[in-house]
Amino acid sequence: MTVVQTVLVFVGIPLGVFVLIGLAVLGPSAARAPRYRPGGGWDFQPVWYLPHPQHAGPVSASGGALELAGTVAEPVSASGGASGEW
Amino acid sequence: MSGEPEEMTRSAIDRPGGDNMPSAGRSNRPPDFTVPRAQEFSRERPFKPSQLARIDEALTLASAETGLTFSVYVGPLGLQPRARAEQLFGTLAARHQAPVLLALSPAERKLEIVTGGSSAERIPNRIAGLAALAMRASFTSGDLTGGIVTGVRQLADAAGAAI
Repeated sequence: MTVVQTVLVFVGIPLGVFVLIGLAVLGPSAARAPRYRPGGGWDFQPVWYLPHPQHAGPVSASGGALELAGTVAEPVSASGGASGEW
Repeated sequence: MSGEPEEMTRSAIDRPGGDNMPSAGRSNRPPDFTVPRAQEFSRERPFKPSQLARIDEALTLASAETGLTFSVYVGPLGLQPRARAEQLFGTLAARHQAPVLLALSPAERKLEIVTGGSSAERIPNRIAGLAALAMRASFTSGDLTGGIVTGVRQLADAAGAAI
């Protein structure tokens, strides 16, 4: 074996194995979407979700844009609920 | 789902920072309503499609079963979370009958459940407090979706079937 072959076999192959193992360990978590952790940041846009209009029963029986932009004759005011933190 | 309504509901999410979407600088403007649906993950969309599907299912089933309008807001609530949540509730109440709002701020770790009118009659504050506790358990472990689903189900169970 020449010097180059010796270096390739005894240095290149072990290095390759280390790199493969490192990728297998770190790869999945790096590719995954960032996960929420309590105390961590939350730099997303606010979102506000409603029930699906087509299945939401009497509330949105009118359906469609009318319902989403609709108005209630006598809107109720907030009178109950609960607060919490974590 | 097809046609114009879907486009309208989608637009709020597709144009973050647009006219109908609040940003940090315009927190007084109430966000527009969106229906959760499967979509690509991005910085503007905190939930993955599978998580959105769970939230959608919980909200839709709970609302269909009880006749109340369950709604979930995830975003900043500011220094006075209760006041902000009640303000959001007012926006919701202006458009929907018997609303129930679950507002949570992951950054500030605050949770507000707001009821009013008939939803306040059917969901006692004690039950809302229990739901908040159950949600807290999930949130503490970092499971926002699980907490939302748990809370919505508990509130819907307490409210019972539509009369």
